[in-house]
Amino acid sequence: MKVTTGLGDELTHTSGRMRRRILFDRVIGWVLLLAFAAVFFPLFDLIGWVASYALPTMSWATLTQNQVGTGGGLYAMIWGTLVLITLGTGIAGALGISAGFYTAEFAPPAVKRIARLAGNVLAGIPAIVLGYFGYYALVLYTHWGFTTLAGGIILGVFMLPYIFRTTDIALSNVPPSQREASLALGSSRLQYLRRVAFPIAFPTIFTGVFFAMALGLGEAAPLVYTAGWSSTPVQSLMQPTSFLTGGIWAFYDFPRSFGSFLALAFQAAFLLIVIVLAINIVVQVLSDRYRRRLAGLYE
Amino acid sequence: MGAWLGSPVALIPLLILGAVVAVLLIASGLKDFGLTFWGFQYRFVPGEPDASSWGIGVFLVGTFLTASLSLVLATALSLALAISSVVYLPPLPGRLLSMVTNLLAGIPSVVYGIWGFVVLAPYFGLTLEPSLRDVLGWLPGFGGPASDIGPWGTLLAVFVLTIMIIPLTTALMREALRSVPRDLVEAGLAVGATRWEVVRRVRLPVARNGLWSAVLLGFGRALGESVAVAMVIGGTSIALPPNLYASTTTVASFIFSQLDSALIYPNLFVLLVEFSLVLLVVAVVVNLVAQRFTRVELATATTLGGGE
Amino acid sequence: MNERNDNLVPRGSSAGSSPLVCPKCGAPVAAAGTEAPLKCGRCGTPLSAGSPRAATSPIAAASEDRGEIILAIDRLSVLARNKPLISDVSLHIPVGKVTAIIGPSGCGKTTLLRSMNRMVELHHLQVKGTVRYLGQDIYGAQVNPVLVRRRIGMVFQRPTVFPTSVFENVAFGLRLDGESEDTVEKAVVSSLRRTGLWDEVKEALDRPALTLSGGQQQRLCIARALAVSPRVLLMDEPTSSLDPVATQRVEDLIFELKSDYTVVIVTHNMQQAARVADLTAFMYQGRLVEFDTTKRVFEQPKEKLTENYITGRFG
Repeated sequence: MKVTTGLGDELTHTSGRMRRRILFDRVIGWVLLLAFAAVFFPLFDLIGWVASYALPTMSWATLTQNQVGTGGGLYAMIWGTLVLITLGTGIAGALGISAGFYTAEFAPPAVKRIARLAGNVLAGIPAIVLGYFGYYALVLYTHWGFTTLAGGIILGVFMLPYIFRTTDIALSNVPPSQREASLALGSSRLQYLRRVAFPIAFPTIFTGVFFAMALGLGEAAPLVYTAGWSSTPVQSLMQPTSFLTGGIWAFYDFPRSFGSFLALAFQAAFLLIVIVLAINIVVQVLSDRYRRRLAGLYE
Repeated sequence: MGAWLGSPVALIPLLILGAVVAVLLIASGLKDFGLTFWGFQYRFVPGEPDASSWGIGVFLVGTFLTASLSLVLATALSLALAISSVVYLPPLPGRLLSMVTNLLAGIPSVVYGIWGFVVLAPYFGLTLEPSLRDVLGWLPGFGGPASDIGPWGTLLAVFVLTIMIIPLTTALMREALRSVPRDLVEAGLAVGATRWEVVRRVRLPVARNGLWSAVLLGFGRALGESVAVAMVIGGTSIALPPNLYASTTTVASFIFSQLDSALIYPNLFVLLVEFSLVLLVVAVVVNLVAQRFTRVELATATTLGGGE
Repeated sequence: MNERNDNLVPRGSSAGSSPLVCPKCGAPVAAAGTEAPLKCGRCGTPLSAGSPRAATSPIAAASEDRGEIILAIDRLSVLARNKPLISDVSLHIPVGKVTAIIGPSGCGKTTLLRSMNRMVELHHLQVKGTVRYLGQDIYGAQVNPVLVRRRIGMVFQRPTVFPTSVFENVAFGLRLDGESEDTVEKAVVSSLRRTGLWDEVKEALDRPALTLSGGQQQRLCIARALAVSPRVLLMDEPTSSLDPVATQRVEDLIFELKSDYTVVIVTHNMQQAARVADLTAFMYQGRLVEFDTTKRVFEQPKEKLTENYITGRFG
């Protein structure tokens, strides 16, 4: 038998095919990175353009004045959005969190399965369908006409599945050992929920609520059909209201000769981006921290 | 016993779901689901339009066309992003990437719409579409003239939809790839496979179900998007597009943009309710099929990474 | 299969003066014997003849006289975020023997094993010191981990079968090389025979591998590792998930394999080490406490710590 010299070269002496395999692995790593450019370039382009249209015309008045003719500010829309999102979060939060609690803690397995499935199906219903549902049920059938209340309710329906599912998941993910330890010490179900499960699950539920708020803020489809439109700040829940996404939809296609309408639309878009990204950053940081803590619990 | 007492509360989502379906069924009066409703006819009738002037066929074709084209692009790109961030990038940049894509999931669809309408459209009309026509003109759909109304049309809608659904599909695909048991990945590497070979032969086959469900959930999102599509697809021209540059219409964007008319024409109102029902059924079916594949889900995909 | 052993004499790797060490990253630098200026193979730092030389630790030195060394681990530390998982381990593993690594859980034995084929890199751990395979630093700059793992295979705690057929599981590594169907089939059959699995699965090669029993799955994983002709087989508690009968079969297999392969096995089961291993290393809190023939480690350990562990006073 031939004795190979320089034995360690087994690790560097490669066949042509092995070299090709290793090279292919490296090349594909770089090719995949190109996808970043393909995705991130348009997205930064979007943010950049919106900012460049909005910022030059923005001033303090943008936030504090009403729309006057083709000019003025976004005050009515900002106020309307605030009222709508408060209503929506209140409704979706109350219903979603309690439904999530019951599903995770009390419901029998069959009910659990059905509730979760329904939640996921609800999340998949196009927003415009919910809008039309609201239009028929809350605008026409009730003879209310377009109202802030109807908008808030439909926004709540839109946000509910997100809050419901996060609450359910957060509570179901409480490690069984914690649960058993607590119940074994003789605490009641409610005590367990209050003292053990809720503190562990709280950051996730919080994340879910804020995430749902960010989504709700950005939706126009469920609102255009329910909240209607008004150029003055809303005074009562039974009046129609304007809102930021509606402003964009109302003004986006005016010809350039009506430049100030376009400016209003872009200002609303810029405001929305800033608010939604701010909420999302908080949510991401929180959920990232929570996930790592959860990973720590399970390790 | 106590368990059953709480059940009505747990079933709030189901009750709402039931209410939505019931109300739409009542509103439609369950009439007009005949052959003409499913037809492909489209003509403009002065005065009151109804099912005899428009069949949903055209709208469904437009919906599936834009949704599937954007899904093809989004699947390719988000799979690349997901593989890159899970397999090739070190942990910190990988996590950062997923955070940034999840952030982008929050950008409102109207904002995508106005960007597409004002910023992208001129670029499409002056640069992208002519060069596509030059290079790929021999392919069906890529040749032919630009549309009369301008650069707003199918291609622009596809592009905007693609960018919109990428954050969702990327988050779901990342989760699917990450849930491949570490043991199997290491076993592949231990036999001397490269990272790519492990992706190709272990991760992708094992994560197959999760990936399919990501694709389907992205499809559901694209099907149901109304506002952004309505803004960039070129008004409300109800026609099958002769090529990608032409305008067309989708069920969701049509419903959204026809509110004014629905207030005036009762027949159109009923037609739109029926369209909503069809859209609802399609979206629910797509979502149910997606749910069958995996435990990763829509509602928490971009925050908790989905799943329980 | 036996012919491989003929070329295993690691010339100059364990004999003679100890190699130069790079002052920056701790990698050894082979004395090329020419006038060419020396450079560190890993980080490229230029070296002079006055550079420090590797200190061979007493434990490693003690094993030098046990025949040819295939894996020489010197002053190896593995750190996670600057916290050492194993520190300053030197261990020379001889060819054609079964070497067991024992110790209480958390002592770093699995980390040590995984540093022998660069699997530690997957967890982004920091590696200091050297692991030389036949004289060459496996962490060297020109060395690709893929090639390392071809030569130094690995079997895991739980069976890690892929969700494909029995045949395709064993063929996995060979397919990557684009071998002809004929070659693949021959190699699969011979690996399955080698692991004693052939008679049990020859009728069921197309069945999903997940339908095999746990013990069969683990032997399938061994067959899969053998199919790409490694020289060293690393086993990380390969029987911890198996019942006693299946464990017995795997142990018998390990015993047979050492005529063709060098086996390193991590186990928490001291009886298992005593049954299958020629040499045993005892680790405690990230350090190598004792390394000697299994007989001596178990019957007359030099260290008090080893004795306490062996006699069951802790762990």
